[in-house]
Amino acid sequence: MTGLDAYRQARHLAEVGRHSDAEAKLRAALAAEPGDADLLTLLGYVLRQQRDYPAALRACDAAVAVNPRLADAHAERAESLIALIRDEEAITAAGEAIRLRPHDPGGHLVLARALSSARRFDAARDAARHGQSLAPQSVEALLTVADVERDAGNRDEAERTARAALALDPGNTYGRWLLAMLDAERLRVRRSMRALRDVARENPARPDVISMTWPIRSLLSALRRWFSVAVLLVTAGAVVATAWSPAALPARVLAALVAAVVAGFAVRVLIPAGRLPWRCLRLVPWLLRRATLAGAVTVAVMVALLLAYAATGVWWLTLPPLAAVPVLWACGFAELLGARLDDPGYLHAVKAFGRDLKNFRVELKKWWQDTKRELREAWNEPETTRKDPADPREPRRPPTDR
Amino acid sequence: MSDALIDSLTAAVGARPDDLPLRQHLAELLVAVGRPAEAIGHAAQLLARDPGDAAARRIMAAALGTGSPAGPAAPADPAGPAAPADPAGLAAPGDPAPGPAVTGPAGGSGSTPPGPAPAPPSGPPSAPPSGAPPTPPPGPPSPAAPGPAAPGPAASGPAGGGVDWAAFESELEGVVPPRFAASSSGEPEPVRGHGDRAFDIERATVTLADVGGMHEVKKRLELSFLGPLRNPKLRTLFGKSLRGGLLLYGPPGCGKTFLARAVAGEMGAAFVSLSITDVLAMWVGSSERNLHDLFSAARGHAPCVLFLDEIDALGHKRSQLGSSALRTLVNQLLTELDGVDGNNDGLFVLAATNAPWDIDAALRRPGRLDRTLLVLPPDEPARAAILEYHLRDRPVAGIDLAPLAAATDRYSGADLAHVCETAAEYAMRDAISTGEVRMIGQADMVAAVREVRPSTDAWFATARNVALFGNASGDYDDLAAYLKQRKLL
Repeated sequence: MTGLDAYRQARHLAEVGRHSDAEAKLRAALAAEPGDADLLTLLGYVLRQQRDYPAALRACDAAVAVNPRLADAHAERAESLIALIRDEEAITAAGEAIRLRPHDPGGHLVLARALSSARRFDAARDAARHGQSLAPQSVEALLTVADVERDAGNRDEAERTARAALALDPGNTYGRWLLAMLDAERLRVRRSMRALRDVARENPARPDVISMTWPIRSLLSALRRWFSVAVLLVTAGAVVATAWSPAALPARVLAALVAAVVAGFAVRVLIPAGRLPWRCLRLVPWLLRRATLAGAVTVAVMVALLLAYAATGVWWLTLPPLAAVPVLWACGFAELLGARLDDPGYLHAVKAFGRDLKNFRVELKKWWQDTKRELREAWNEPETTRKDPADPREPRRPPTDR
Repeated sequence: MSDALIDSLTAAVGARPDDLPLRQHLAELLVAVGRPAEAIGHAAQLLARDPGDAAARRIMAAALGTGSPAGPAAPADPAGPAAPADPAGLAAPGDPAPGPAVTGPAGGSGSTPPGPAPAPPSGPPSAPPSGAPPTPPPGPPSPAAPGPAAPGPAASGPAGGGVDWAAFESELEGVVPPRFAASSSGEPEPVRGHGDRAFDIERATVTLADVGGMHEVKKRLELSFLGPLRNPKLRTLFGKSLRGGLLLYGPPGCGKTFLARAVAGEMGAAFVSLSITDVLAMWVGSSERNLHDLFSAARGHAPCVLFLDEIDALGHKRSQLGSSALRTLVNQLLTELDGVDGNNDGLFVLAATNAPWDIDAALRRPGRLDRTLLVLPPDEPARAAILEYHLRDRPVAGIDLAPLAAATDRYSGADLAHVCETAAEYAMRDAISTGEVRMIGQADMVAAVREVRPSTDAWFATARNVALFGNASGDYDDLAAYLKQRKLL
């Protein structure tokens, strides 16, 4: 079998979702032709689809080493780097792909994704628009533009572009998912959940269950922003009321108001969402599930205590909610971490960060030892210069003496 | 001819299942008195033992109702049983020889013209390549096959009632490497792989009786597929056509392919298998023509079971395909399943997949693969039998199969084979390190069970998502019921 045959067969296998078969075929072909950059690039793609990002990057590095003028290899390398959250390197690789093939929209779109990942939204928008101008009818280009606009916070523009993409390809799964998430950000709960459910129904083996829990998570996220402040104010009012009784009524009214607003917001989001977010919560990674449930329980307890204070006026009932604020924030942090736990690229990036931190600690320690030694030497230097160095009765100290 | 005679002959055959002349005589009588449905089973048994048995083929063709190659699918004559077939036409189902590889156009012989399938009564639809060695049957039933897995009917099945372990092992051959390297001399190797032939037409020698356990699956197969096939009168009464195929789905390594072969064997039909590997190895670029030729050849060998392995790859959702070559392949597959330019009578399409949710919806419409059957991991008795089989030639002592079978819930047949391999490895490692050979014991097996995790878990995790999100139409009700029963949903 020639390398071309293997390439073609592996591509077809990858297309029907048989990535491990495709990988086996490519590796077998590479055993015969280890210097085939196209095979290596496709191997990188197949490995990335299997979420083995470090291996994908190694394959792309090999492809680039074999043929540095292969734009596809640079573009694929940039995709792997984006997945590994190495954005600056991804930008460089995508730039190289564009330099080698400036009229290929693919390179510009990869660059846009890399820039967006690095939160350089203006440059990302320019790159995406340029890519789209090279392929005006490309659904991928339109969706990349929509993605960048969404990341940049331009929801109207993102929605308009996503709809343009769906006009070209109404069944596009990613486009429909993107619109659903834009609806979610605008609290169009029912419509968003319906769209997400439809997308999951069409790809039931790979449902995006984390996205479908957004009503619960966004409720908790929104509460974290102002609920802490409200609880602090109520507690302050309740404490003041113990010394100055006219403050009691406003504090109790405020507590009731805060509890009512939280309950109202929960009803506004959770009732239209139905049971789906709760059912999906059972399927998400364990840390995300536990953190979300713990956050929900914490909020419920806080609201109940505030209501109890509003009803009874017992001031110390406001203290547990205040104590629960850090718990709520801790749950939020754990939830953020949990949502990324099943992303191997993120985990790899965390590990790489840990390694960097360890290296930094080692270097810092070494620097401190060197500095200490030099300081000691500098401290001892005047003494030795004051004494006669030629005096045989004076013992010489080694320079590393501490 | 009295029913009493037939009853006594039936009892005699039951008592002496290996008495082939007696069975043949009974089958002939059954055809003659208009009970072809009962004759089919006996004819299938005869063909399972000797696929080249002309008399058995003649009986089968007559029992199937028309005497033509397209017999099984033809509407039954409500007035009575089909007349004995024209002997000239009888050559078609199994002729020219039991299972020589029919080289398709890709092989350059052009012996299977893409024209209409029914063969002229004067001769076979396609002549075998001259000098082609007949393909040996996949493996004779082992006389030493252990009994526990064999269900009740196995007592009257081939090989004296045992499970056809050789066939089952061939199902798992990719998992457990062969014990000995093939000899370079002696008999030629049967054609395997995909590089040197377009496709093989085989005679399946296994029947459902050879399938250990899986009682529910066999029952459903009997009711939804084989029953209507064997009861032309009932079919006619209820206006049931034989159109449509059967989709087997379930976790990998659980015997779907083996089951398909068993169905073919049960019907005494030819068996053709096609997978995505075949297509990619030879066909890309001329897939339409070659797929058409394959269907034509299968029709020419009717009754024939055409088995589409890994149908999710062959008939992937077109909306997810970017390549026009693969889309064309799906379109052609749909056309062939409809039998637009070739009558599909006598052609039974079975398909297997681990991922039915990735199949193009059009493939599952009525008249195509409209019946589905969930093939689950082996149940406890079947697991015990599989373990026993894989330990049969190894030095074992004190193995208690019952607790092992109980501890291997959700293990596939392939996993169980791996457990035995691992246990053997432990014992061998000990032998190497101590210099003293010892038997494989229960402790090795228990340790191996602990080490080898069931490979079906990932499949069930996906299946749970499918049952939650993709079962609005009720396509996966059986799967959902199983998951609920196992508290996985």
